[in-house]
Amino acid sequence: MTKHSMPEMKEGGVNVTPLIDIVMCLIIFFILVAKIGVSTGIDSSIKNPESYLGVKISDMGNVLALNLYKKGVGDEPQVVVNLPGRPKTDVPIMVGEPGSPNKRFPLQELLTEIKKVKGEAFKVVINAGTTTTPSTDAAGNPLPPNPDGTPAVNTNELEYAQVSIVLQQCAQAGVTNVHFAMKKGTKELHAR
Amino acid sequence: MKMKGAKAVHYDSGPNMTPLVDVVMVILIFLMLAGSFGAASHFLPNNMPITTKGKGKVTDVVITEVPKITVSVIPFEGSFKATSPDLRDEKNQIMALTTQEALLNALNAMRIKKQNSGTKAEDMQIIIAPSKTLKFQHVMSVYEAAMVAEWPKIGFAAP
Repeated sequence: MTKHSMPEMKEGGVNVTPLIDIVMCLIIFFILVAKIGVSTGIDSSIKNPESYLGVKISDMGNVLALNLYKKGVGDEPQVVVNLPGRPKTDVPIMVGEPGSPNKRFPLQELLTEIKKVKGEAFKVVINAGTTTTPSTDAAGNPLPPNPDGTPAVNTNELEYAQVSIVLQQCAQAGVTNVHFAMKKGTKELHAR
Repeated sequence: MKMKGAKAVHYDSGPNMTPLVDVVMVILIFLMLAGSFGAASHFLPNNMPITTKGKGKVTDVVITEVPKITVSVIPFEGSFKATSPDLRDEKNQIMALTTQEALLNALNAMRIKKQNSGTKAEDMQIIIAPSKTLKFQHVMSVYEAAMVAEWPKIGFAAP
């Protein structure tokens, strides 16, 4: 007579297989959808004005972002661009003495060159607003924090004089598709 | 007292899934926090008018002059003041508009008046003429007001 052994018992537990399936699907979704480390060329340290209106630009491939900073003197702004494959570049508005035959307009030349390649789809984004820089003394040493503990910073807000120079360069390069980078505002505007 | 012949029960639990689930959750949280759904982008568009005058002139394009309303904007008490010879009150005085809402209402009323008088959309243009020292955020406030007032063409004048 053969001995029959008791069948092996399995403790009924939670089946985690569907959980892992769903989590894997979510991971694949986020890997495909999320854009990690994609540079748009826009300097996020510039605080843009708020606007309730605005559009999203889905295709940033045909966009050149011009980051504007206020220089210490004069109306000409500092323009920094981040071209694909190249480090951030300071592009001067004008090089050479005004009135001299050797003067050039590097920003206008750059915009003209890119417009020739990209055509009418080319857009320029002007990223302007307020920037903060650490306050320094006459010797260039950083100042100590304010009495309330906040860091001592200089707030530089761009004025129309600087922006209009860049708009003129865009117009002279034949670029009419110009957007202004804004921060999404919550204050709704309606005409009465 | 153990019964003779009874087999010890052992549990076949299989591989331990807990570390796998832990790692997968960590990866998921990382991706949710580190990624962003597209670049943060919010832009005010502007189709700049081509002009044959001024520094922005383009001489190889033939354009027709479009009647326009010029709105001058200057800094005023930490904000701005906008005036235009075409924006007048009931007493025919030039209005000094110092808030975005007031400017919006005035521009909207002017736009409706022009449309009701039969002016075509392609003949309706606003030129914003800010002063050199006007802060950029106020320039954008004025521009936004003109956009909400649904003016078909909005341009900027050189200071």
